[in-house]
Amino acid sequence: MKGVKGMKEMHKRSLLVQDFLRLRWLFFVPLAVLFLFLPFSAWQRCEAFRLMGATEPPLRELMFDSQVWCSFFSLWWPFFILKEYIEGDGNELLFTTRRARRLLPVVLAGMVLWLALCGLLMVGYSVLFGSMVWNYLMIVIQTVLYTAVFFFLCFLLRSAVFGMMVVFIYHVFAAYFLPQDMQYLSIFVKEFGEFPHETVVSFWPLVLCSAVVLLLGVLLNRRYRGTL
Amino acid sequence: MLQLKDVEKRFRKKEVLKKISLDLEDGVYGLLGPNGSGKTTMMRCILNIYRLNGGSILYEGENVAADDSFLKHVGYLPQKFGLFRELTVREMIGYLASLKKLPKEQIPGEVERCVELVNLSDRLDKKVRTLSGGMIRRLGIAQALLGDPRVLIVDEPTAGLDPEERMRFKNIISQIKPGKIIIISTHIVDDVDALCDHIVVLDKGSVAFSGTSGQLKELGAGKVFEIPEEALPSYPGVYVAKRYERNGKVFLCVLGNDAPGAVPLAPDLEASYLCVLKHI
Repeated sequence: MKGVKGMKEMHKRSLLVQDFLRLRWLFFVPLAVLFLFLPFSAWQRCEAFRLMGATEPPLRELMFDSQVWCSFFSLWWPFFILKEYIEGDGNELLFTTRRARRLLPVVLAGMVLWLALCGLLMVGYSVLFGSMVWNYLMIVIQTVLYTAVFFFLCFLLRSAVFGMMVVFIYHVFAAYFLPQDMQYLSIFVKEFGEFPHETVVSFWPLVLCSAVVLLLGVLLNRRYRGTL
Repeated sequence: MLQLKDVEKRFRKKEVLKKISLDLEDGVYGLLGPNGSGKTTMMRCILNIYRLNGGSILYEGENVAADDSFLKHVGYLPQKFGLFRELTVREMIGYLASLKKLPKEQIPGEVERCVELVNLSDRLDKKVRTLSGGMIRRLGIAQALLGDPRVLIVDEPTAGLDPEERMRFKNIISQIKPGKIIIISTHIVDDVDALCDHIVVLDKGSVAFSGTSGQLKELGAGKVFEIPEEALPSYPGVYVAKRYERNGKVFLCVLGNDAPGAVPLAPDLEASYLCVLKHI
């Protein structure tokens, strides 16, 4: 973004906007995943199914893919924004400011923006493949959980990188490597079944847990400067 | 005035600061001490990064822990400084100015003023990661000067800098020091001698000395001697401060209360500082 007028006048924006602007090209990576990679991947799957003679689109696979990618990339912006505060060289300088002790609004803003954009993707999918409401609700639950756990782990482990690694390891196992009899540990829904609302509602305890974990993260954030 | 009154800080059971009391008025204060003496901890306590376990820190009579308004008057350069390397110098300083809640309309002018003070105006639109180590330290000083703070706290500012950069840093401090309380933590005694009006020596969490450099040198009077290296076994209680060669012969500068037959030397600041640390 070198030479872009917006960057030269960064100081005129709110700190929240500045945090996103300073990511530069990294800001666009999740957008590329959401609006280029996933639609392309969906098209590829549909073509593959069509060539195999299927008449229906591969809804199961499309919904699963969207859950896996949308949930993981919900952490992209918070990761790069928080990384400087938590493990940047000289980060104690940042912790002389009140803002560094209250980083939750930045993370929540990133989460809300991401969910709004995922909603756009789901609207597009709905037009092509039918209702994606339940799938979108699962993405919301997964995003809230990942954001809460990541935020908490950043301050507990004193590292945004380790926090991300823990979530990533769970993410990969839950999505691809859990044995059939351990699928209850996965937050991904491969099949919504006849009563999709019951499937989604069964994940409500996770939302409550996310709220508790987020509160713990807020407490750790406030105390973090004392551990520097 | 910045006052530290019986300041105590512990980490778990380890006492890092033990009832430190200091009154700091306008001037440049050199904070000397060995590794682990509590210099950085003391600075972080002043900045309200750490909560005190006892005592209080007052700025103009107000407790700095009570609210964060004190921090508007403080500029800080930590020992390690390398934030936001992907931003340009202008963007980075502008971001830190926003964090310090400087009025938005003042930020561009303030950024240019501070960067000019440290001679980095030609690097305003270069990325931070393209700067050398010395330039990054200067950039750190520039951000510490945002808002023209009354109190400036600088942790090991010249560590790792070449002589030219160290001289530049000293010139900057000389330029900005009127009307400010500047606290410089350092291991480099020469820098303290050149820059500081007052010296505070910390040792194991306590103030071992507080006064001018002249007063510190006086503490070493009559305690600094020169002996030939081979004569060391004859002086069992002395501390060896330096080893040097002259005319092909090796001599030792030693510190002690009594060294009969040794050549007395006029104490320099480093020798006197060591006398304080070694309780000579």
